[in-house]
Amino acid sequence: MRILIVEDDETLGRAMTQSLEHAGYAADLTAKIADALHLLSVENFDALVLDLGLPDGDGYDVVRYLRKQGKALPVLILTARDAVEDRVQGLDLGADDYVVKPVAMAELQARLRALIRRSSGASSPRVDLGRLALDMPGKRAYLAGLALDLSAREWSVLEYLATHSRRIVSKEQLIQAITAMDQELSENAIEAYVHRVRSKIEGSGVVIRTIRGLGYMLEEPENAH
Amino acid sequence: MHTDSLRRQLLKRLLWPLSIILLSGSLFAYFFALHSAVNAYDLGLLNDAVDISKQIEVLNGRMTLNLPPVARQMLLTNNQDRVSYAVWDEAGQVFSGNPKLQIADMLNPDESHVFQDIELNGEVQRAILFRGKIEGKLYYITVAQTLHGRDHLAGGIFAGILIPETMLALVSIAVILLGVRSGLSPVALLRDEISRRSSNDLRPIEEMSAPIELAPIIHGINELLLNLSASFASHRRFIADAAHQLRTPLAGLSSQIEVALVTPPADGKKLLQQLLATTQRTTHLANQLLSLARLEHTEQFMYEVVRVDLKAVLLETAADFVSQGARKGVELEFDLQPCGTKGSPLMLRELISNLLDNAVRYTQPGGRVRVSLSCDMQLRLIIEDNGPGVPENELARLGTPFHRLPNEQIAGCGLGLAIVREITRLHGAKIVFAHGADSQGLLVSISFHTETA
Repeated sequence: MRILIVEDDETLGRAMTQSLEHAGYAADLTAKIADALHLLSVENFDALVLDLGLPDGDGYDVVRYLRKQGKALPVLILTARDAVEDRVQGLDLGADDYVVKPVAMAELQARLRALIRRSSGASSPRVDLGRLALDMPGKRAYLAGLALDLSAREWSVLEYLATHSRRIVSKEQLIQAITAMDQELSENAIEAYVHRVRSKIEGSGVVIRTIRGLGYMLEEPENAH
Repeated sequence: MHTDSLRRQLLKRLLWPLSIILLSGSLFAYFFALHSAVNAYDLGLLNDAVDISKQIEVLNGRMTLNLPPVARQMLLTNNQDRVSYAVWDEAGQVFSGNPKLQIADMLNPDESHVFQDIELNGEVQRAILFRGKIEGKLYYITVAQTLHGRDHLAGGIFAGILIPETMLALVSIAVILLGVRSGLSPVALLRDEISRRSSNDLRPIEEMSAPIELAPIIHGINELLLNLSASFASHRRFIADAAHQLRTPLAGLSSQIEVALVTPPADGKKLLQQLLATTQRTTHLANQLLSLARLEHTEQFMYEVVRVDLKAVLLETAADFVSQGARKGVELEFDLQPCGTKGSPLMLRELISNLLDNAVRYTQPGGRVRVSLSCDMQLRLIIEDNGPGVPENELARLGTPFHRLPNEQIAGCGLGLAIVREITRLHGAKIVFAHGADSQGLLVSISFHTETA
C-alpha cells in the first residue's frame, strides 16, 4: 500500500511518514502542490493525505485535478480549517474524508485503512483485520493462517461486517445483505449467526460488538502506540 | 441628500401649496385691479356724456350743442389720454364732434347708456354710447378715450398689491426653511451623537431631551447597544476563561518536560504517554473552544438548512462512542425511530457526539447509556445515563461555559453542554436537563421541530 502525503509542516509530515511506514505502508511526502500533481501523474498510490493551505496553492486544486482526471484515488483531507463551509466544500469536491488537525496517528491510520478498503471494495482480493485474513474471491477466512470452518451465511455475515468495520450495522441491513430476494430471515436467526461467527473468530483481536437496539459493529484491534 | 430625506419631504409638502396660494392671490389681485380701473374710467366717461347732454339745446326745431370753449377744453384734455366725442340726432345727423364715432343704437329701451371697446385711428379705445331725449326728440352722445390712464391705474393697483404679496411669499419661504431646519435639528443631533462614537462606546444615548417622535428610535438603539455590550462582556469573560483553561495544561506540559530534562525518568515511555494524554486533552479543549466561539457568533440565517435524517446521524456518530464505552465498560442502548428534522447535519452530529461523549465520560464502568429518538407527537432525542447525575441545584446551570460541578473528578473542559445549548438554540430546539430514571444519573431531552412543521 502506497500513500502520498502532501503536508507543508515538516514536523507533522515527518511524523506521519514514520508512523505510516511503521504500520507497513510505503509513504511519500511532499510539501508542494506542483510536486504532488507530478507524482500523481507518474506513480500509482492507494491513498492521498492532503493538507489544504499549501505554499503554492490550495489543496482543493489537487482534489479537483484528480476528479477531473476521473481518478477515484481515496483522498483524506487533513487540515486545521474546521469551519463548516470548508468541510462541506471539501466533501463536495470529492474528498472521501475530512479530518481536522491535530489527529492521533492511530485514528489517521484507521481512517486510511477504512478508506482504502472501501475504495478497493470487492475488487480487493484480501482483507486483513488483526490476525484475521479474509480471502474475498475464495469466500474463506483464515485465523492466524488456519482456515476457519464457516457456513455460507456465516461467511456473508463476517464479510459484510468486515467491509463495514467501525460502522454500526443494523440487523435489517445485515438481513438484506445476506439473503436473496425471496428468502426470509428472522432477527433471531441473525443473532444466532453473529453469535457463531463471534465464537469462531475468537482470539483474532477482532471484536463484533452487539449494540442493543441497533445492531452490530465490527472493530479491529487498534495498534498500540 | 437622499431621495427620501425628511427635510426634502417637508419642504416639498409646504412650498408647493404655498406657491399655489401666492400665485392665485396674484392673479386675483391683477383682475381686481383691472376691474377697478375700468370702473373708475367708465364712470368718468359717463360724467362727460352727462355734462355734454346738459349743453344740448333745441333752436328753431334743430338740435345744437352749445359747448363753451373752456368747457370743451376741459372735456377733451386729460393728462394722459386723448378724448373725443360725437353727438347726433334721431335722424343720424351728427351736429357736433367727430363723425367717426357715430355707432349704431344697441341700447335696450330701459337703458340710458352702454360701454364698449371700439377701434379708432388704429388703436383700441373705451367708449360710452349715451341716449338722451330733449323736447320729445332722441339724441345720442359717444365719448371715447384712449386706455393709457386706465392701464396705468390698473398697473399701479396691481403693483400695490403684488409687491407686499411677494414680500410675504419670500418671508413665508424663509420662515418655512428655518422652521423645518430647526424642527429637524434633533435628528441631526442624534446623527452627530451616533457618528461621534467610537465602536467601543456602547453607553446608551440620552433619551430625556428627545422629542416623542424620536424617543422610540433612541429607545430601540439603546436596547441594541445594551445587547451588544452584554454580548461583548460575555465575550471578554469567555476569552479570560479560555486563556486560563488553555494555559493550565500547557504549563503542566512544559513543567513535566523541564523536570524530565533535568532528571531523565527511568520509564521514558510512561512520561511520553502522560504527555500525549495531556496534549490530547488540550487539543480537545482547543477544538471545543473554537467550536463554541464560532457557534456563539452564528445565527440561524447564517448556515444552510437541509433535511437531516437524525437516526442516520446517530448511527454514524454513535460508532465511536460504542467502542469508547465498550473499552470503559459502559454499555450503550438504542431505541431509535426513523425521524427527520431540518438543520445543519454537521452541527447535529456535533450535538450528538458531545452528548454521547459526556454520557460515556461521566458514567462509571458497569453503567449504561440509553439513547432514544421518537417522533410520535414531537421529535424528541433523549440521552439518559445511570451515572452519578447532577445535584438538583446544578441542573439549571448545566451548559454555562466552563461551569464544572463542584468536586468533579473526571477530566473535562466544561464546554460540551455549552456547545449543545448553542446548537439547540440555532435549531430552535428545546433542551431540558433532569434526573434519570429512579432519580439516578442525568437525562438530557431535546425537542426539535418535526420535519413537516
